[in-house]
Amino acid sequence: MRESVAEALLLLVNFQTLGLMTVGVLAGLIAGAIPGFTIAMAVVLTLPFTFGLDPVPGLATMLGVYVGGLSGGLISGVLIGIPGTPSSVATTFDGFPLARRGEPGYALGLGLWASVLGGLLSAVLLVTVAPAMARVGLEFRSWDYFALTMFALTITASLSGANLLKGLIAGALGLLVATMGEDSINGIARFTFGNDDLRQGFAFLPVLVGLFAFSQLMSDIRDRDQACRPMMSLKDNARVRVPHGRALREIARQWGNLLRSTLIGAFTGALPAAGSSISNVLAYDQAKKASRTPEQFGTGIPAGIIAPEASNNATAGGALIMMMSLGIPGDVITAVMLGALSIHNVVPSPTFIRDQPGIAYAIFGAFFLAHLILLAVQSVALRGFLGIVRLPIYMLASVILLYCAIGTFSLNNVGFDLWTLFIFGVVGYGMRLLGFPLAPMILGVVLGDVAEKNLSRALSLSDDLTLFLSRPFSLFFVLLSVYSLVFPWYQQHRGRERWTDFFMPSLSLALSLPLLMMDGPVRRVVGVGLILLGLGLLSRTLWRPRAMA
Amino acid sequence: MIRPNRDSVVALLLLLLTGVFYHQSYEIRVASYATLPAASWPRAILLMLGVLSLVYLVQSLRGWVTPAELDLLRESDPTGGGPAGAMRRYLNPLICFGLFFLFLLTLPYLGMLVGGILFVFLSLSALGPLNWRAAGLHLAIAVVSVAGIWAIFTYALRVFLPAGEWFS
Repeated sequence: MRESVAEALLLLVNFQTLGLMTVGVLAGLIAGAIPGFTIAMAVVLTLPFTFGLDPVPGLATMLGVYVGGLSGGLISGVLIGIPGTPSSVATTFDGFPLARRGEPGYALGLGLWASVLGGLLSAVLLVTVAPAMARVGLEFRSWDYFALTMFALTITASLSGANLLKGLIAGALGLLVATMGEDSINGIARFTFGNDDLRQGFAFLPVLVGLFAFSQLMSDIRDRDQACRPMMSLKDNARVRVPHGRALREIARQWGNLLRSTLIGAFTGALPAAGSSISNVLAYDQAKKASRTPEQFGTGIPAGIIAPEASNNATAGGALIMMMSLGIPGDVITAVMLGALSIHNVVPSPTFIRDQPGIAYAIFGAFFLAHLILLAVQSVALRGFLGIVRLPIYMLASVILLYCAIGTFSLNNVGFDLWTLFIFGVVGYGMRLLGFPLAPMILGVVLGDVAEKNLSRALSLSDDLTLFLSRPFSLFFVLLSVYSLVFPWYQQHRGRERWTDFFMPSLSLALSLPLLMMDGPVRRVVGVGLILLGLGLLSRTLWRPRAMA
Repeated sequence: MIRPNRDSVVALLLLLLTGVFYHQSYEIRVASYATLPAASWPRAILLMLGVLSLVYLVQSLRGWVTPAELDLLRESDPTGGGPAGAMRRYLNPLICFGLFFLFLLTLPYLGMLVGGILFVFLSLSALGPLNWRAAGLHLAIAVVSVAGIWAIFTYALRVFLPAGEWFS
């Protein structure tokens, strides 16, 4: 192993590779900050430039773009409230309000360091547990994937805050939007209303950018006087700087949140086709549920920034785990990287790490280094970005709208995507005015197709519906879904209603069942642990004298 | 006579939308080879949406107002209430949406560069101050910002952007 690491260092630590990685990280930052441009597109555009390079510099450059792009979404999400990429949707929930309170530097610092630390932790995970994690993901079948997507959709309940009913309606509308166009399983047209353009359905990115960008910008410029003022008045120069020490101290204080979010991101990334667009929302939801003050989420608290940013960078590590250990892409970006490797006659497979350790460890090292380069590049780039928000809102709004249009168009080079952007811009603004949350709708659009595909595959394999409950992973996620739906009521009535005292013990006991059904000693030990935890909580509930309300 | 509030109107519109889509679901072709018919999943979603919209409608019934209460609400609105008041309240967003709509309509003819510059310039002029100095600044911003990003996409990234029939 020592020789492999030494070989990897020689391939990585040279002027050419580090220089290319720096350019890649900067390009990824810019691409990620433009709503609609996407990290995948940035990585695809990088691919031709790597043809003339050796595998390691080529892959390292693409990794730099990937890592930079994940953090680029943070910048626009915090400064202008529009997530630059789907992986930063949840970051805007608290990042933008915190920036609006006059602390954009602090918000960016939290996001930057959470991204870097989450990515570095997942790099460690990548190296140490790649084979084991990949095996878990491979055990998933269609029933399990369907149950996982249902669980992710139940998160709409907790994302809706006080407007639970409106959140569920928005989620259902998102699912409905995802059904429009050609059915991806049978190729049958649905809800086209005789329009040929609608046969392709609505692309996800124009929907996302339309819902978020238009609605946010229109809200900002609605008042004529407000529109002529800067987006943020940064009178105090200290606020322009990123308080790295303060951000790091806060993250150190929230080490549990960081670790949990990193694990969520890494696990989600390891699952094929689940990516950072899901993991950032999952991590945010879990951070909110674990918090003692969940009602503060959405007002601009550090935990709401740390969770999604740590998880989205960790997702990259998880996706690389699948690619490196099994040759299966964890997401679109790693699929592009697989293509790049095959062009250089390098084919990742279960024996890749053993057969080509130098290249394999170089890729691990490049992922690690990219985060360190991100730290240096983003700190410099932030000053430029912060200058942008000193401009009057109406100037930013007009220019950003056009940049969104250009970014959206360049995705597929299809004019219909621009009309999609416009239509969902109107819908998004209307939803904002009527008090409907947007995130559940986005979640519905993302997950609708995935859920339907897996349901269809599951039913193709067997029409036995009990498999959704008898398969351990499926049962695990079904139970999580049920508890996730009930959780908002639990939070609302915790401490006041007797039934809330039994929520956590019953959750612990319920989740132990699927774990005990799984193969392998580790999972069964965890299952036994959950039983003991559940019984302990239950006995404490039953024996503790109840305080009078 | 009491009048429905905004939530009731929205709930009714959602129910109407559900009805329209449900009716459309019968236009979806049934394939003999499909395990899960193409219409099944959408109908399940529409059923859920219909139930949620009904619950929303029932909840909204508590908030219906009398004409007197409605008049009081309108009097307290500084923009005057009613459709005219709504136009005044949402003038800037309406302008933006209108200009973006025109930009999309003219895109095949003007292209992304010229159409984009026009869109940004007109938006800035409509939303910002109206004087010659501001107009000059707006034109400069429109040209620099749009031409800059257009050049990056066209020459650096080699991404095709529509040139427009009049300029190709």
